[in-house]
Amino acid sequence: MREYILEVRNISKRRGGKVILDNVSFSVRRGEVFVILGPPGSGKTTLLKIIAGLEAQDLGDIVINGEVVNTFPPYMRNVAMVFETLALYTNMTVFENIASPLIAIKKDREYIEKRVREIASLLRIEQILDRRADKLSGGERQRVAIARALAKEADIYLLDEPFLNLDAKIRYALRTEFKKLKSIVGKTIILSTSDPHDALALGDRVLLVNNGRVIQEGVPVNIYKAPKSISIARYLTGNMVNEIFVARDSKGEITSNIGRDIYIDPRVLDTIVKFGRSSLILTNYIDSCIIDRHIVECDGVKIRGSFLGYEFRGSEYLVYARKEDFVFKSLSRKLASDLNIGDEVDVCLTRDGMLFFDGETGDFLG
Amino acid sequence: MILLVSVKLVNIVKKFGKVEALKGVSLHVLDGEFFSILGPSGCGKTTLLRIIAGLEKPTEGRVYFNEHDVTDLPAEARDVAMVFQFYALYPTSVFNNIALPLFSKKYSKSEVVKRVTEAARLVGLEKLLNVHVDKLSVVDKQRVALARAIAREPQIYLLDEPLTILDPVSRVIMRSELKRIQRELKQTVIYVTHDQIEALTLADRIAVMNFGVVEQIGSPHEVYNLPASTYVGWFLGEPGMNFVEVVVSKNGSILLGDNVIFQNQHIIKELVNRGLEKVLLGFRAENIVLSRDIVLRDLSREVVIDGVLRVVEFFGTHYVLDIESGGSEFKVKLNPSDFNSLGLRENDKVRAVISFDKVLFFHPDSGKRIPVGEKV
Amino acid sequence: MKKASTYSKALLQYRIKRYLRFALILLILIAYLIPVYEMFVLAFKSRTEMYSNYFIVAQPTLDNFKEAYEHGAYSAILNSVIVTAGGVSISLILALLASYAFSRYPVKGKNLLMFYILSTRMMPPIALIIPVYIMFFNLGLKGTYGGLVLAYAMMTLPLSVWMIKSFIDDVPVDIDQAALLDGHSTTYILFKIVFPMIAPGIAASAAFAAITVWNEFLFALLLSGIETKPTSVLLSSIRGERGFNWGRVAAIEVIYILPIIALIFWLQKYMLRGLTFGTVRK
Repeated sequence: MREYILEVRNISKRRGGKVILDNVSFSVRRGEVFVILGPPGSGKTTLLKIIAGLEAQDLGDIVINGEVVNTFPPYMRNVAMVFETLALYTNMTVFENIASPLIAIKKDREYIEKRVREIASLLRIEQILDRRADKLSGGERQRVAIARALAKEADIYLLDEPFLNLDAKIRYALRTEFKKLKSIVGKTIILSTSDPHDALALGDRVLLVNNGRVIQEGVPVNIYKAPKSISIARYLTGNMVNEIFVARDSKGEITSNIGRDIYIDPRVLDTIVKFGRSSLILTNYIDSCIIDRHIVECDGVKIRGSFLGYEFRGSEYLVYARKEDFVFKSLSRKLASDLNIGDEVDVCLTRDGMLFFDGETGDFLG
Repeated sequence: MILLVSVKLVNIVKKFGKVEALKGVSLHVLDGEFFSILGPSGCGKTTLLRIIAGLEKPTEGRVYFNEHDVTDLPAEARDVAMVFQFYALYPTSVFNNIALPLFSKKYSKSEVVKRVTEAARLVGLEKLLNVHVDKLSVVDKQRVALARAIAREPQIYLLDEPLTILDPVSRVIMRSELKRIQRELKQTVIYVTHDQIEALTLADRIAVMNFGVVEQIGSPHEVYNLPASTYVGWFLGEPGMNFVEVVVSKNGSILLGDNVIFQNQHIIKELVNRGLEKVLLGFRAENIVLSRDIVLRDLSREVVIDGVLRVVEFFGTHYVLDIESGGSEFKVKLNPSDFNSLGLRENDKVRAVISFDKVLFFHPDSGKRIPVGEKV
Repeated sequence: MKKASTYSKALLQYRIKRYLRFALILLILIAYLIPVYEMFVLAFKSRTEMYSNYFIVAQPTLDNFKEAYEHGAYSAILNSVIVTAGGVSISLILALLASYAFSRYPVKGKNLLMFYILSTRMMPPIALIIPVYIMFFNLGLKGTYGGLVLAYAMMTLPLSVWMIKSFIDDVPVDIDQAALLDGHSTTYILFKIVFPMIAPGIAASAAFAAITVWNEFLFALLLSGIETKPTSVLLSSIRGERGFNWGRVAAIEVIYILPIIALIFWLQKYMLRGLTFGTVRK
């Protein structure tokens, strides 16, 4: 058995003069959950449709199970797809929707009955089989769309933004269901999403795209710990990162965008010098940042700022502090008592957990 | 002097055709309180707000402002100010936007100027009064909408998810502002949202709704740590509270599947006295300690569950693990360093320990919390 | 401080306004419906009662309906039905196929063609009478059902194409694509998936087309023969006898409008939806 069930080679596509996909290449292993992550409009849907054969690429090849399938029509490519819009047949019942791919290949009545019920119970929608597809809740419709794709018995499942517009709670539940389903069903799943949480939580491997180009590829934890550029770090966390810009002049003096009121631990200074760039961005995720009235020991970078506000999340607090135009965020279990907006606080970005990026290019250094 | 208004809803039922959007909601908002109505989209919270505002009439039930029955009164006569998610600003200066609604009330010119400047000061727009609204940032536009409401000096402020369109940082800033303004004005604010973080952060008390019904009203701490029902426990928190069905055995132990997980005689006797053979154990993902060892533990002070790790989800700042045991599943929240030091992989055996003061008991059929021990 | 009295004053004001609004609507409704009512009443009046007793019938009679039959009213109604049903059906079938093509396929010069189709409606029908009459006469279609049906099919085609195309446009392409992936043929997609989805739209288009044809007079007059003449033509030829028998005219009109009212009542739900162009919810 081949290791890679799908190979995407140098796919490019233009539409009306605009570049939709630019030289996209990647491979997907059999049985893995492969997530394509990118902001809306980055070409994810087009990429999936090209893999499915619903749209044609300008350049490049799609290889499924070792065969070049560029000329194959959709139903011969051994893929099933769940569309972002779900595309349920609203004039038919749930049963008829799920049965559709089986009807198309002319399976007999008995087989269809059995298979549809099997899949429906897997997704826990047996009780709505007789309902019309336009009379379902959002979560139910999602599951029917997935059921229809499962009924097709393809080797590759393409899901286009399957969690879009879902309530946070349902999204969470569906994600976990998904991961469990994957091991039961044993199929290869390619998912597109614009929510970094989906990618980090679900993906065995993640492909980051933007403006039709591949930006980074890898295992979630590794992308998180070593994002190729600072914009990736910002995107993955929804801008929940703390950044400090430092510059080194010709004399070797270090200045920062925060001003002079900053303490930098000697070991951090050494690292800055080691990288030898003229400017750097020091970045910490919110769990490696501490905000408190007074922080005595800080082994990274310490700043004095003012309290901006907080969020209470039930089990933890997200604390915001500001210095000049810059906002710092810290995740912690406790909140210093009686803090008012404008009170002076210390912000400490710990050394362990600090990422260094080039100040000009934004490239990852270490 | 500005009157402080309390709002009382008695058994509000609202039907749209055959659909019962509200099934008998009663609540009492104290004067000067920041009260939040929290629930998923479609649960009826906006309908409830509209009934308080007078934009909808309830099918049954009464609405009281300060003990006056205002149920039949239309919105214009109730003197409430609503701030929506999608405000509509007039294409003119900030000053005019805030002032326009006041003109119909026949205030003198000087009175209008006074109110507008005061409202602008409260929201921090005093320097931008002559600026055209098209030139403002989204945050400032929202401030104008707020100021417009404030200038009217209504009896009650009704806010319907006004901050969802803002980016996260602006949202935090506006939240702090809202809280500050409310404290200064000392007015009654009713704030509808589906965002639990907003409710937990801002409100004095929260009404948690579940499709037409209010399941609990309490302080943020109460609804989070002492949910009145499994719904409230599940809804609040990310991930929601875990619920595991266990067997209460008369010989003084609690079993999950075939294993004894808890043996506090005192508490178990209380459960048995209520005639319960099965009960739902509720505990939060962040209150679980995971380990790989199988050392003997004190089952009278801790709930100990041995299970298998099924799913690992990475969220950057933390991990959420799905553990399976005795046919049930629950989630554990761990920070990255703890997860890494455990070195767990899918299908590994693992032990979950929860201190018994972090465990709650719920009725297996109704889902209501059973007050046990000192926790009422 | 707000007192209870200010609340009750506001309440009273509000109630008065509401009743006034209701009264106004009632007035307008009555003004509209009086002529229709009159017509119904007239249909049951005998010749003697014709000019008296505005709103009531002292001695109701069915004579008018009998006379209408003798004068060929019922076969005229039948002709109207045949011509309308025939014309609308052909128009719908052609429109469905054309609209799907326009909506889904990259037809060269699509916009031009669509505009051309629309432009046919911009021309007053009367400008076409002479060429159409000559053409139909030469083809031997004058006086036949087929001729009139054909003419009406062509007449209602443009609007049907435009309406149905917009309904098909509302159906997301994803649905077609999902069906393609499932493995269905285009025919299956057309007839089993897309058309059922726009059924309300089709009903609305059919209703509008039917109304146009049912009431049409000009082409009916020119192209129909003695056997095939529809009711619109019949009604125009009813004068010139010993005085106008309004009762008989009214009777014919009553029977004339019944089918179309029935149709609209039956389809009103769809027509409303059709007007607002919202057949598929996402």
